[in-house]
Amino acid sequence: MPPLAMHWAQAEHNRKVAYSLLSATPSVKDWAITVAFYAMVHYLEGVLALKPEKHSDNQKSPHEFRLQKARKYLSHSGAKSYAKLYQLSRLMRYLCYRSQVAARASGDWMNDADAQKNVGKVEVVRLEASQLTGMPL
Amino acid sequence: MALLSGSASVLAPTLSETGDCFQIAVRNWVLRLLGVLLGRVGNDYGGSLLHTLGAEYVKLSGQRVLEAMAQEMGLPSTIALAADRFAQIPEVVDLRIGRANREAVFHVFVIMPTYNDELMDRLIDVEIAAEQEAEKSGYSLDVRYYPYPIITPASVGVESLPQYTKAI
Repeated sequence: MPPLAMHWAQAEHNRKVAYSLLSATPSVKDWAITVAFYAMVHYLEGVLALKPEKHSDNQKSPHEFRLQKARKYLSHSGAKSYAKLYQLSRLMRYLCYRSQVAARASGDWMNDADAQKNVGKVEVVRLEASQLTGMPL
Repeated sequence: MALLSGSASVLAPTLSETGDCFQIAVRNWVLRLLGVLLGRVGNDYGGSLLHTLGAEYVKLSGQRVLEAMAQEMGLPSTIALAADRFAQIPEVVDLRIGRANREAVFHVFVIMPTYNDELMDRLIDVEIAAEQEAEKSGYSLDVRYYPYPIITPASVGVESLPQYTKAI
């Protein structure tokens, strides 16, 4: 797994992509949420690169492992933002793949304001990751 | 659609705190069991009667009831209590639990025809508390939410798993 700088670069890239998906016409809310979550994953992996855990490689359940580490290293607000985006990204994908009304549900299920609010949660984790790693914002 | 269970705080304390919320957890289970036994689920009069009966029963044998609840589903008490935290959320209509060794998967079906951010925050608060409790007891908990009625237990193939909450 790549070191801190590479995780940070990937996180920043994903963050920009998430915002661009939100500002597209029409906005692509489900994937904006998912990409924002994967920005958080890389911010957290950047934090782990400086901790004894180093990374989530070889973990049986990497997502569960990272949720646990988010609770360990981030504030309650940061851990909650991480857990919420994880669940939302999964939920939005369930709407796509499992529902018989997928096309409507993934686009209309969440309104634009809630999508913006939740994509914006990436800033909470980004700020904390910056403070923990010394990476510039 | 509603649950028979009560509407206690979603941030119920842990089992070790044996306070009001513990009694509420026990009472909820008693009410669900009585609801099934009496076939009165969904009936206002029946619900009122069951609350009265349940409250009396809890006073008599709270600890034994929670132990029975855990045994009924083959659940460790930590997992049973975590399940009850979710059952206390009124919008949770169905909870299926898959378990292998010290890992449990909660499939939580929540009334959410359109996204509800306030409800999602409540769910995540309960999830974090439940995962921390499970972790302390050496269990790992994977919580999955499904917006009901868009997605049902059958549509994700978990209808055969044990059902914790009883929708009415």
